[in-house]
Amino acid sequence: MLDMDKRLGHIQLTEELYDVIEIKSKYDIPVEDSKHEEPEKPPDFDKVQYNKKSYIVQFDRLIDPVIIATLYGLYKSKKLPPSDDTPIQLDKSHEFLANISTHEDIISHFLFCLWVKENGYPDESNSIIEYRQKLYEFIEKLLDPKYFINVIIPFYIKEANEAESGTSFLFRLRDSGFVQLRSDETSPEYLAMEFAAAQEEFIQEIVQNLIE
Amino acid sequence: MVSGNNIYFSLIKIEGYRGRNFELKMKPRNEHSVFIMDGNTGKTTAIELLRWCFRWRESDARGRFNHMWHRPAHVLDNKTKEKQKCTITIQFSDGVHDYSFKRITVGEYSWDKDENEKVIGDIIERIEDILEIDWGKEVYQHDDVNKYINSKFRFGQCAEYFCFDGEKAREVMRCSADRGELYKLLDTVNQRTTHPILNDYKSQLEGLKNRVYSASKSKVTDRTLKLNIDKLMREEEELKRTESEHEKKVEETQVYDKAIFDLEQEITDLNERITDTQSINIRKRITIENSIGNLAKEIESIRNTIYKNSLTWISIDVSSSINEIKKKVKETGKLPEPYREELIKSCLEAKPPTCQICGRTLTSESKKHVERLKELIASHQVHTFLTNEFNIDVTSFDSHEYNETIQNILKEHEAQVKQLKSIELSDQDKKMMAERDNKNAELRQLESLKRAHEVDLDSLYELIKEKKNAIDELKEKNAALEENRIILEKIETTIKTIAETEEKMRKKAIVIISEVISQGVTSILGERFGAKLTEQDGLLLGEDGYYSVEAGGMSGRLILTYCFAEAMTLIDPIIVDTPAGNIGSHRENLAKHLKANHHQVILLCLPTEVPDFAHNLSDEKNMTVIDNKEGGA
Repeated sequence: MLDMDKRLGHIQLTEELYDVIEIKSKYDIPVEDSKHEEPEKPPDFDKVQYNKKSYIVQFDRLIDPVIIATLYGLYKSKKLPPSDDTPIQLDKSHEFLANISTHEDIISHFLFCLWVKENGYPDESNSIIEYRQKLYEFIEKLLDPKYFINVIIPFYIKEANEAESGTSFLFRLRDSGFVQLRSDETSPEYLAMEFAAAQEEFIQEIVQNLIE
Repeated sequence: MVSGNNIYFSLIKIEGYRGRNFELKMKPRNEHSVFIMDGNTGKTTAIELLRWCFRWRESDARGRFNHMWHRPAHVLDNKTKEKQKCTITIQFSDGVHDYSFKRITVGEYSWDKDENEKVIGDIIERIEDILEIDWGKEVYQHDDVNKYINSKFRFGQCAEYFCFDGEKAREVMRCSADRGELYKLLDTVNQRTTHPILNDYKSQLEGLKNRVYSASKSKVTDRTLKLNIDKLMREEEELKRTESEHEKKVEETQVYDKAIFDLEQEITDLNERITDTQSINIRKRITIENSIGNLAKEIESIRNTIYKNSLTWISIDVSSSINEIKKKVKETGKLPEPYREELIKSCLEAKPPTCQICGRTLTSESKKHVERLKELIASHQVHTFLTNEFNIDVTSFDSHEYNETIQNILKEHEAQVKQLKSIELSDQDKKMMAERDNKNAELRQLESLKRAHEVDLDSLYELIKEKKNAIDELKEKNAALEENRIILEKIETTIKTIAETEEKMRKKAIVIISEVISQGVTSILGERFGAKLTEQDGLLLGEDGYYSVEAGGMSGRLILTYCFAEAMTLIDPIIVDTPAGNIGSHRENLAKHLKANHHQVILLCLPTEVPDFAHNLSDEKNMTVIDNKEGGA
């Protein structure tokens, strides 16, 4: 397991996720009196409601939305990250200081399962030596902190920002802080269900499938 | 500074100000003077002019004249159309010298309106102050007059109190009873207990510090050092400005506090009126509104929980499945290879390269094969990843359950909103509810403004800390200041000592002032009564040992304000406008108290106040009736 107790440094974020982080870190005061730039408000935005704290401020740590976004992107895309070490650049970046070793471990193991799904078990390969080489290379990459921060996380954040139709998960996450007394795809409860559904699908398709 | 006990006012002459023209010629030293002045003849004007003259120096006096609740008020005669010249002359003595103060104001009063439809009022051309000492032996002019009077007599610091009237008494009562206004009262006490000479000392020390910096700068040839000293001086100036801004913001916060407090009171009163209403529909409406509010809070709470526990969304029991996959990979691929790095190394490093298992010398092909094997060995990290068991804590987050709960609450919310809309209110009820809603919106707005204000305050505080650190660093690094380090340190220590001394004096003075006020109250109201002045609770009247903002009733509290005024003034004479007011049965006692405690009481009273107040201070035949002569100079 990687030692992630050190400063994570700058992580690349899409604009929507960056806004979420900004809301979490800065919006403890009503926005109309704040000097900070406001994120885009939904059309039926109610100033009175917004005077209260945004739900987004409730995330425990600043890094938590990033973890959620990364996992969601992995679940939804079911793609392996690029093998190229070149750091992926997104719209914005933000510095983080956190220990995410537990979730790094989860992500690494999910990616391991995904790799096995794509490449099969060793006895299915034509050359065990080649298989071993590729697998060891892949695992080495997973365990490289720089690759994890510069490639894996931004890759899946980008995936989380893709939308098959309508608005993306991250777009709706950003707007979820303003939700009033209605329940729709921008509500926190809806996003939690969406995450759970994507997670369940990934586990069934990738993990459970490998066992059967 | 001269002892205030020897001050004696001999003459106050008003010519033209606010259309008033009269002269108050005081009785000789150690006698009290009573001037009988009917309503609207200039009593308040006289008091306010004295305060204006002593509080504000010439260059700051424009627009500072107050009259009762008009702040600011006009000081010129609003019945005169032409240019006018108004004069007030105040003659007094300190037992050693005779002083004659004059303030001349030249200007016009305009009834024209500005772009906001407000009457323009005073158009002042000039204000001129003159102070003659001993009939011209020494003369001061302009701002020097105020500087002289305040450094010698501190009139400016206590003019609000040695010139006392009902309006000031009510203001003191309000400040002492209102937590939001307490700071004004304590500010007054603070000013009273702080000698202006200490501020002078502090300025002189700051001046000395700057001279030391300049002297150090002139001695160094190194440009960098010179620039550093300049930077240091600039940082210190900026620090002073930031601290002053911070102080202002703290005061502004108190204004917000007061406004919020007042608004909350209004809303409470309004809610009480609404609750007390006999209207059944309003009661129904309030019950439903409360219920709707609670439902909204419930939803908010659940959503907050969802995000607070976001990492529990990763709620999966997959450890065993993943470990099974890893096991299968290891077993079917015999992965990872047993750790054979040492064996391979020793095979290759032997001279000649030799298989350490069978002992045969490696051919070039065998050697290449062994070298390829080396590349296929898993690193320690990979080895650990593949062999260790994966474990994840299972959490129980049921997103469907949360969603269902919220949906149910929303349904109930919708039903209640429908019910609310069906309730018919009378016009009066609607008006009350609308007023309450508006006030609540106003309150939310104020609270959000205050929060933003507090953010600014925090930023300023952080900036002050930063600047102080920067200054300390600059001082440390600046070798050019080394020579004068001891002087500079002594200056800092002295400034700190002055601040600490001020604070100690202030605290001690509050205790003494509290005692003085209490004794005054007891002497007027009787043994059952006392007073207390503390930083925590402000000014309280006590009856039978119970201190509160309500004890003693209106008359008792008015007496308390007189005693407070006496404690705040720094000179013996007291000039009082219309004293009796609501003092009730304590009039005689108050009059006797004033007579006993002052060598000079100057009373401006109504004719009706002669029998039960003024006669305690002077025989009727010695009282002077004053008629105002309309028309200015």
